[in-house]
Amino acid sequence: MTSPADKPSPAGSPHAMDDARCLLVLGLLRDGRPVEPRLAETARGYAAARPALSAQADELSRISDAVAALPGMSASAGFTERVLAARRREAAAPPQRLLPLVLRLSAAAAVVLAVVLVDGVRRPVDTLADPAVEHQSFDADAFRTSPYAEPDLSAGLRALMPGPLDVAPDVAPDVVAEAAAEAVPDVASEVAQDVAADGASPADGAGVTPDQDEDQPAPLREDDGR
Amino acid sequence: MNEADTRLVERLRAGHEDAYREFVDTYKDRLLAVVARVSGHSADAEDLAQETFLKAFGAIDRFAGNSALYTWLYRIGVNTARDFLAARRRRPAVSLDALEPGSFDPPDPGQSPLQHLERDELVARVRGAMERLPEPFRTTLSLRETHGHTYEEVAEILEVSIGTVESRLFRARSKLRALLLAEGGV
Repeated sequence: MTSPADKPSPAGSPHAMDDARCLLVLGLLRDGRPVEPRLAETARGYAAARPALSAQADELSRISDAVAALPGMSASAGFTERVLAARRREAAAPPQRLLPLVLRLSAAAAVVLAVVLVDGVRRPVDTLADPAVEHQSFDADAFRTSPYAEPDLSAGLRALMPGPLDVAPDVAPDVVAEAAAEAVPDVASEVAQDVAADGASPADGAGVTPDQDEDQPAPLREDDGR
Repeated sequence: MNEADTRLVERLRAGHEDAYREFVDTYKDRLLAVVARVSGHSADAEDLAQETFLKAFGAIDRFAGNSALYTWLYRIGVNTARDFLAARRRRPAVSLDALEPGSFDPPDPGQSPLQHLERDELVARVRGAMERLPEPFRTTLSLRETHGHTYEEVAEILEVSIGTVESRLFRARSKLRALLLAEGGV
């Protein structure tokens, strides 16, 4: 263990001396601490050559004596009984070592809960659905019969699907006639005549299938045996 | 640890009421002075000493016996007083002048009445100056000078090295001298 007196002085040599080091060594000698003889001799010689330093060492010595003479204290008459009574109370009380821990954990949980609640209330945007889900929801609205009904995807899709003979208005009339001839050969000429006659849009009659015109019997075919 | 302390510790561990009483009676005055010096609050010294004894009773099973019983007790007392000091750092200190004079050193028959007077006056001034010393210096100086502990015991109580004790003692005396010089001399 290194004593402050053993440390090299600012001058570098282990026995070099300055005022503070001299006073430290003299203090250790006064307290009966073991000091290297050569260091002790150097300190004494250093102090002897400096009357002011010797006087300072004497003052420190007197101060130490005065501190040693400070009054002690006496406990009051009932002190021992009070301590023993407190010990008995502690021994009789149930152990409460866990109580502080439980209280601290409860307080921590309450703080965390409060932070979560306050944060949730403060930021309602976070409670909205994901934008992608929201978009899909809008797409499905077309299939609802009312704003509050579940979307009926089957019925909606059926309504959107074109019929077998539904064609777009921009399809050429000859293409319509050709398609009609292929689909229903017996009415092909009739359709072609209609188209040629009134120059109407082929879509006007294209949506009517032969089966739909139940009031007019279909023309006989050459090979049907009638 | 001496034989008497060993027996006392055994009886304390066994929970004998008379052992608790003996323990308190033996050390209460010196412990009281230690916690009063460390804390600088003589008015609270008895409460601190009581708290120290209760802590010691609760920890007696963990006392390893590597040091003297009173060293161990004083260490608990110093830490208790330091905790108290930290908790009340912002409150004004109660003067140590309130300490009851209990054991002034008897006058040295080799000293003249004038020397006695001078010494008593210096003691009174030193008592005031001690309050203004920073706690580690006040505690170290008090344990060494007022309570007469060896450097080794002081180091053990404060849980510092002997080199630290030597350094603190030198600085404590120097600071005390500076305080007294500022008041008009030593």
